[in-house]
Amino acid sequence: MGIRLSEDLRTALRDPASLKVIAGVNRAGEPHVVFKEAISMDSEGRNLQCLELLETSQTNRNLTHSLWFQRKIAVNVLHPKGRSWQIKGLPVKVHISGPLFEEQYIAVRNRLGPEADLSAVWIIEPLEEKEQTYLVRLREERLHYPLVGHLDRFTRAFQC
Amino acid sequence: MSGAAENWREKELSLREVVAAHPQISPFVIIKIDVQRRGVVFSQAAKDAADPARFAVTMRGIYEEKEDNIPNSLLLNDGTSIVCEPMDPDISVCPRGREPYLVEVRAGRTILTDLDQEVAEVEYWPKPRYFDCRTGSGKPMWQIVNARPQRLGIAMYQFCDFWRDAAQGCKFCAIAATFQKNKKDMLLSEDDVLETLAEALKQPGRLRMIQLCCGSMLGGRNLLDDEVDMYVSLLTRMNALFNTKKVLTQLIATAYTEKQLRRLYDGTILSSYTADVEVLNEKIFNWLCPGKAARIGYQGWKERLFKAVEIFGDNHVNTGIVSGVEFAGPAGFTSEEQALESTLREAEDFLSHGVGVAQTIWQTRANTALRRQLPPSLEYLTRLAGGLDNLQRKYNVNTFFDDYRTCGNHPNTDLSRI
Ligand code: SF4
Repeated sequence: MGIRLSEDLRTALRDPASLKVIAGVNRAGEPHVVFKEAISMDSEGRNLQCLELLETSQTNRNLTHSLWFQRKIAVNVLHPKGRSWQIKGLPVKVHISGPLFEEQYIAVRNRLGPEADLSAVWIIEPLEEKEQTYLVRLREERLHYPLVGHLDRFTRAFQC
Repeated sequence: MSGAAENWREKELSLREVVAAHPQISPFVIIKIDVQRRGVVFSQAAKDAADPARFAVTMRGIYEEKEDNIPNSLLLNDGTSIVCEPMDPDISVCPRGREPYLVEVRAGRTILTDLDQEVAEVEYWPKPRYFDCRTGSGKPMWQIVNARPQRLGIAMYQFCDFWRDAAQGCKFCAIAATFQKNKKDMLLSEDDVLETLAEALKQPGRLRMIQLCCGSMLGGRNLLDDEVDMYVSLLTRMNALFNTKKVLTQLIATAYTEKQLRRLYDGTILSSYTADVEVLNEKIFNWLCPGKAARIGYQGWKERLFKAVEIFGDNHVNTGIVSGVEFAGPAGFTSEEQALESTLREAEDFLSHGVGVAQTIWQTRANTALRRQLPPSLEYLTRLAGGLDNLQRKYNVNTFFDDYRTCGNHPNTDLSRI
């Protein structure tokens, strides 16, 4: 069952200065991770939309593999102010033709120039969201595992 | 609907069981195989959802012609096309020997169902803009060039000369019956085709491939010279539409001689070539395709394909098979295990010579000689798709010119997507 992403994450996804990566595995289970500028919210504001420019890319293959066999993929979004989030999700549809595809095809070529092409518009349903910003993760670890860490941190001499 | 084989569901694995038994094969592709094998009908609501302004509902092909409000075919959520010939739900007999799937609309979603259970969400093929245009000669352009989601299809010669001699046509083939039923020109006009192509190509992002496929034309100074002349002439004129020497095009034609192949490759934009051997067994081929057997022969067909690889290059030549027709009686197999072993062994010979094998699913059309025969099980056809995919990988044979989007009619090449 898909989730609604937090407002902060949606804002980060809309910010063109955010970095986004997508990771998946191939049929042999080998991981593959790439920067993917063109990840955004879809028009209904619920799912992620990911533009794949290259028909023969490993990402295209891995997303197909995930859709076929219900294997999750991961996306990470890093906002320029330092906050980052991981989304785990499932590709649920790919547009390879039709009005949405053609609209995005024209937009891609307007943006990237006449050499550019578009292979597919992937729709990814988010299933989990987790903030990965260091300070947030640190606070979480301290809360749940207060005794985990190097002992010098726990000595009387340690000044926090 | 009557006419289904008795208790067929009890005698073979269900779709769900086949999917479970083959966790490495795409369930979308297995669904496609079964829909093609059993056929599909549309509820009234599903037909009403096929807005003719948005979806393709008319088609002129060499094996089928229709002008109604039933979608031409289906797309699954992963982009898999199901090239199907929608059947009339009012027909009282079951032409494929098993009950067809039903497309319905439930809660605003268009879905494929079987025994009232949802199988998959489906979409109809989008209509290309040129479908609404007419040629300068006044013909609707959809009658000149057909379209799949990303591919154009041109059938210059709407008949096949093997049907001119009694019982020489391929027994599963509906070309002669389709031609006789629909009043249409036997030969398309080159001007109409070029005008339609130019119009179709105006739609950005719509097309990736042009396929040429029609019946055999046997005449000429040498056998098939007329057919080759027809293609050389059209392809040479198509050159003016493009700014590159070669364009992703596929000619599905009769098996040509080396000289004929060189004329096509050296002189035109054509980039890939297919000659359908139909069945990977010489004995069954001789019975099933008597015209091809008499004029060229099974071994001759193979040799011409092997030669085509030298001319067109690796990954640009393949052969189509009508998978399942190897069971057509009385010449066909009676054991699925033997058929699978024999078909894959022969497929390996083609693939080891660089010739891809493109699997289509035998659809027992009502207007063919084999209409009363029963295609094999879903399990068999799925194992064949998986076996062919494995062989393609073993011999590094790429299928980009005949894959899920440049064609959409081959379960085994769909599997090469991952
Ligand atoms: S060669 Fe055979 S399959 Fe092809 S059109 Fe002629 S009769 Fe039909």
